[in-house]
Amino acid sequence: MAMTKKEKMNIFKGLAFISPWIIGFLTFTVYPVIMSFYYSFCDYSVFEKPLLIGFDNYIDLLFDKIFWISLGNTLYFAALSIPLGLIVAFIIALLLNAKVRCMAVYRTFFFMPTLVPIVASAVLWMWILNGQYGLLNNFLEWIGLKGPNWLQDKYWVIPALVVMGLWGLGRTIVILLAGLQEVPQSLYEASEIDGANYIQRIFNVTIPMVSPIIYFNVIMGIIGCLQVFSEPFIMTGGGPGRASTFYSFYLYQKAFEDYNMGYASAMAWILFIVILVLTLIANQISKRFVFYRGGD
Amino acid sequence: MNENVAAQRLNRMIIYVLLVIGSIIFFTPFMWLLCTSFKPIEQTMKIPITWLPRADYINYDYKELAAFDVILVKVLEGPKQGKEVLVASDEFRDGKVTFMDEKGTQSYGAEPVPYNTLYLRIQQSLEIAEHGYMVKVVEGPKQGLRLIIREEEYCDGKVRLEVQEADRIFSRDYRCDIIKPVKKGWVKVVEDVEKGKSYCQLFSKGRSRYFEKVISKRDVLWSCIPKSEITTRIEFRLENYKILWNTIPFFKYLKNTLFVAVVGTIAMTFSSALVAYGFSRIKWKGRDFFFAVSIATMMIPFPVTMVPLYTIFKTFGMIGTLKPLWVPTFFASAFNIFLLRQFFMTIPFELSEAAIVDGCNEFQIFYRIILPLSKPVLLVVGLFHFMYSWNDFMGPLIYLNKPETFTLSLGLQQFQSKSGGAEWHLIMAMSVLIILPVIVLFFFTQKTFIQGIALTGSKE
Repeated sequence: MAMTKKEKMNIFKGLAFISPWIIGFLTFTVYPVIMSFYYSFCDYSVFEKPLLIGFDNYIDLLFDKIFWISLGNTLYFAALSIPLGLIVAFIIALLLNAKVRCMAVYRTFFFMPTLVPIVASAVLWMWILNGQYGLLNNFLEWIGLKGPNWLQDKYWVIPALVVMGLWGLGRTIVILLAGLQEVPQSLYEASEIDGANYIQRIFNVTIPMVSPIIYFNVIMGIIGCLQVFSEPFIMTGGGPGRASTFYSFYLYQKAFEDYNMGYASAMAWILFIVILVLTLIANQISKRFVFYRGGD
Repeated sequence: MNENVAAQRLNRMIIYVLLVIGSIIFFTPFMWLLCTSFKPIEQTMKIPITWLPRADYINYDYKELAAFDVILVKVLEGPKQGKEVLVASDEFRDGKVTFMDEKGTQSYGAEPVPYNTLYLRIQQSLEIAEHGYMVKVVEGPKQGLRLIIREEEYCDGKVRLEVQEADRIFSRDYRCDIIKPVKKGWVKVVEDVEKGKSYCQLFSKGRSRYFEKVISKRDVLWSCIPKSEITTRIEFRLENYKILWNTIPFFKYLKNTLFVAVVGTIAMTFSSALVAYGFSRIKWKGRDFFFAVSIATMMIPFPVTMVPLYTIFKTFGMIGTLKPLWVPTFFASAFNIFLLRQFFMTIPFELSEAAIVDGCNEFQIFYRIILPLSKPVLLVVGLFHFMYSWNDFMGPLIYLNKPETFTLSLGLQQFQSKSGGAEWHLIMAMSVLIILPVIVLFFFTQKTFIQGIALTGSKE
């Protein structure tokens, strides 16, 4: 089927409009992805030409203790911070959705921390979590508890980072709040007539109705957690010992401190695969629990 | 029915209480940040912690002397290794203390020593039991020295001192004059040294300072006073910001950050809109395929492309310049394209058709019709990119290596790691300066912001 002149013209026009993306896509995505794959099979230090070494990087990774520690730390962090973050954000969103006065003011309070640049929030929390002069420990002492030296304690460093993460939940709260506001009032009324109490309504109406948003946040949470870098880099340097060495932090160390770029590339590809696998699992689980409204 | 109303009122109360508590918890770190940034350094190292910045004054000899800027540090190297010395807080920087000794002005590694009050307590600095005397030794090798001694060390106008002769240490009694009796818990302060010539170096930046440089110095003029003579006032030290300004090239960092953020925001918004137009307003074969590819690229995590991107920028000689941070913004980003496309699709196509009849070409339709109609979503994209650029840390960390090209985020991190976690008042002051513009921006664009977040979150 021959194309009309107008169709050909449109292809030309369309390509012209998307040309910035095509150039960017080829330079900053296609080429880097191919090269990264290639480097992952090379011994490469940036300063010298890459040298093909086959699967050595991947095999070394299998026996790299720190690699496994970093993966474990990251998954532990994700397993703590994603559910906890969702629960806290959901509760706050529910409160904000309760037709309160001055909602914009409260929302601003909860949202403001997400505006803080990551470096600023990292140094601020270093100061808050300081074992001796920190706000948190002094508060705990005031109520009669003795807080650990959060960032220097190998058992407490990850929970401390999770707590810090809760402070930056504003985005999730706003997204959930927008979802809650779209839940039709008629559903609540219907369930009330059926005799459902507040808790039952939350579990049988609210959560199913916002489940796509929860699912979206779980996926974003997984991707985000696996790429946590700045917090360990600024706050703990991966320590104490290796207790807060997260995956992306270790990857950075390999790439830009050891200049072992091939090794880092191999790690990046494994990260990619882990993200894909976890997303697929979440997707499978979501089929059972996520409720999509038809039509719309 | 009445019961129901009461129950509802109770519910409402609980909701408000929870919201207020939550707001306070979320806001407290900001207050802590702001308060710390106005404190003198010694107040940041004081237990229990206090919120409002304070300044201490000593009533001494009927004069009120400001007691500030003093910090107790333990010297880690050099001839005074292991000794605790009291220095001006601006003489302690980057984990090093600067003071005069035989070799002139020297810097040595040191660490701050925590202490409970601003001033040295006698029991901490000197081993004194319940009572003692402040004495002046009038003979022997320690002649002229002022000391604080225990009651039992004093006998009949003499004090027992340990002195070294050759390689042996003797205990001998020397004559001394009692200046005043002192008690445990009294505070050691430094006298007004305005008159003393040997303290010229203490007059820095137009402010006179009232403390000795090194405790063990021979001719220091000091005394002991009860704690009740110290008065404390709330005082915000704006000076911290001035010190910060003099310590780091803040203006340069700001200029770099603004340059990257402004250029990036304009380029990103425009290029993404252009591409989104091609993906939404023109029907062409292959469009949906390309669009699907662009969406798929969002799945690729940054670490995958990180190393080759570094190599590319290195090849073009861009490492150490700001270019890697803004050049890519000219080539749109998948997420912004997606957002803009969603919006462009909702604009009626009749508008474009009418414009074609009027003789507009495709670019004119884009520029004159679609862009003006899309202001809200363009604002969202621009705002988000500005925020991203202002907050970005990993990009600058990887690509920038010269201090004159640092952005604010990187500058703060470098400053923090250099100061060795000691100068929290200055670190907090710099954090305030980084956060403030973003908060101000947020208050002017609050609606756009919240709508934008809701938009990016739910329409996936």
